[in-house]
Amino acid sequence: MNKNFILLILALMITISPFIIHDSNDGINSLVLSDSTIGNYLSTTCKISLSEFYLKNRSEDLDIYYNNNNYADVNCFGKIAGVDKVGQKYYVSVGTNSSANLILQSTVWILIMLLIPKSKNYMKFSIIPVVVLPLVIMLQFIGENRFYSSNNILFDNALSPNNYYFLLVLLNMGLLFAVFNELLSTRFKELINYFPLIFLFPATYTGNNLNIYFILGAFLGAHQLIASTRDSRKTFSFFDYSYFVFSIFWISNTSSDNYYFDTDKLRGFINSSTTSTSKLYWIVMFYLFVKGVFYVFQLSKESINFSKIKNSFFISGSLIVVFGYLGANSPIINFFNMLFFGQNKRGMKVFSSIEGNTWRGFSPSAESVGEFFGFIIIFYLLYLIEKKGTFKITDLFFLLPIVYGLYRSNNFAVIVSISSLFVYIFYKYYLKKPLKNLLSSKYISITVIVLLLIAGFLFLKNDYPYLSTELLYEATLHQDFFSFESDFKNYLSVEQKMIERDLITLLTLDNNFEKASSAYLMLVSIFTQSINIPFIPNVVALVSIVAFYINRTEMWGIFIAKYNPNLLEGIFGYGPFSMNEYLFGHKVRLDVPTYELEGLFLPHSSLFDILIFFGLAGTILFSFPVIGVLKNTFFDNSNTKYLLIFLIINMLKSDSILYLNSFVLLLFAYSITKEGSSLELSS
Amino acid sequence: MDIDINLVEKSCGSNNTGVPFPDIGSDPNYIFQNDPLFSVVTLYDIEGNVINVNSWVECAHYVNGGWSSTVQSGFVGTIVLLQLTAVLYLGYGFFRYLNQKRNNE
Repeated sequence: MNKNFILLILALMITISPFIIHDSNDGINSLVLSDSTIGNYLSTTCKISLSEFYLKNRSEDLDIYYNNNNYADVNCFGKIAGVDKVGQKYYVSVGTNSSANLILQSTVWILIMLLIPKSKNYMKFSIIPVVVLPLVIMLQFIGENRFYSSNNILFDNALSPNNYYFLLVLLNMGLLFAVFNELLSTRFKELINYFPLIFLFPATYTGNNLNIYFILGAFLGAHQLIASTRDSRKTFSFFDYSYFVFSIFWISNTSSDNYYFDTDKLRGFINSSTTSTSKLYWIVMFYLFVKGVFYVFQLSKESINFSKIKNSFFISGSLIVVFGYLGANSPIINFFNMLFFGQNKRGMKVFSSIEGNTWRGFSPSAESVGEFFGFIIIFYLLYLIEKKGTFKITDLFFLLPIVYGLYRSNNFAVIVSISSLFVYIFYKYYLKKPLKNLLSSKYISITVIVLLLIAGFLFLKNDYPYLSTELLYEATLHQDFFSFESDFKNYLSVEQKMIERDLITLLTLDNNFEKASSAYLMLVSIFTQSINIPFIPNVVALVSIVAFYINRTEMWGIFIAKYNPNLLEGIFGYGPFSMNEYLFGHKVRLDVPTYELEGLFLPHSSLFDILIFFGLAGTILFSFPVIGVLKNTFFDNSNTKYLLIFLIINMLKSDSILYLNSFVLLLFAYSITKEGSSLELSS
Repeated sequence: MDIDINLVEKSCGSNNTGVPFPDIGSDPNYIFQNDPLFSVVTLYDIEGNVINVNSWVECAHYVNGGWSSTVQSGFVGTIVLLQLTAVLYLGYGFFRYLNQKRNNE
């Protein structure tokens, strides 16, 4: 039998087996679930296995949802830990202890990684990261104790030799890194060809704020660091030194307010705490992770195979659709999707657009999965054109679900971007010469640009006063201005001042100046400055107009209302993947239904996310290499830059940089654009 | 509904009231009557939640639902997982040994 097939079956069996094991001689039998048998399940908690329960109830017409109970003890793993009925739906709680998940999921994903074929090159890795990195990871368990204490009954925060919980984590992480050392010595250079599978396997440990790729990336980054120290000329770059300076600020600026963020859909790639220990963990690990990802690309240039990458994209994209659909229609598959693939949030329960993100589970947001599907389509197009790949009829078998996935993600911006690119590709490669020459003549181009500018001017002329202030209006509405008892009266007071366009007076009333966020104050001062150059729009007005047309006015308005850094935080940020100060540090007024007040209000722009983490200085620093790469490749014939441009444009209006797989995709697009045609591609 | 009397008595003591255990089922509107003669018992569930019960019937009902007067410590669970980790280490060592042997050959 095929070795890969055996590995896959083994991985599946290891995932399922804890949910089958039970004592058939204990005299406790599973009963058909009904209102009268709920009590029986409550009195036999942790005795009946999920398989027993499922087999008994599978033919019944019941509305069941299998809830994972990560807090439950190990003896409850795979067993029914409780049943509740809400409305007509039964919520069956299944024990999935967080520490046991760490072992189970590591084993499963290591088996999946074994599917990556070995390359001829052998890399000898140092033993140092195997010993040191588990200690670094321990910092997270110490620093983010509020997260772990609410997610694992076994969690013990005591720093003592008798703390077996910490010993367990150390040993498991040590084993994981030892296996990585072994596994990657022959597969390292093939990693890049299979990286798109990180979208199918988000690989976030259930009940933990850990992600296996983040750990793996940091592990490779540590190896890169060790390798570079051997070459004393190349150890640290300007970016390393800058990061070090930033780190000193981040650590010294630790907030005394111990804000806690339950991580929600960002689990595995966000700091849940504000302690200096957790900050240190994220600073070190993020640094190593980014280094590790670039290390993979740097050493895999010769092994990169666009045909293999295309196949990985196809498998990943189409299986997301298949398993997403299956999970939405079968509660039991929905449950195992979470465990097997390592979803950071449970998959959708119903296959309808009203559920919001149709591919939730595999992707934290509809936008990011839409970008992924769009990226695949563009990648395939460029693969056919630039890499002289051949179209096969079997490609359609994969492309159709991917196109369907994009359609269901409702990501209009991606569809527009792809359509524009298709038009451009048609123009560049397929348009007949006379017409092409005519269109590309200087006169035609200048005429089109002038016409567009005139049309834009006429279009905006009447609406300009409205459009240019809409963003600040939204931000003002969400500030906690005025303190009348009635929210409606507060709203009317703000509205009146906005109609009068009198933001300065608004800030002087009712202590509003103190309640305004620093970002808001800065934007108001830019917007109300006395210098006014005719026909040159104010930068705030310009952003406001853009926000309006891309449907981001409200979300960016909330961001401005919430973002309240002091001067140094504005320059250096709060630290990598530290969002707590932004989320909880400043009081805002949200005009949403009560049940949504506790929801997660992200900035809805990756640029704003970077601003929160790395401040203005960090954002400028990061933008230099990206602008540099685009500048260098803008006029060359290579088309790979469109992948990067596509992602940047879409990420400006989404939070995708907060999701590990989208972040890696961006680094990949950046790297192949940077290398451009110098890559020796073997398709 | 049947109750495991031994399990209940471990947490709640014996039933001195003489009142038989009523069939509460999953009735969310059932109201437990306080028993002034009953010493308040603190119960814990698997999720670490805590509840104080004021009568034997109430106590029996919760114990029947998986609650217990003893904190359900995760210590044993950690030991079990440590043992499992030890087995994985052995497995890893074994495969590494096989791999090296094969490479040497």
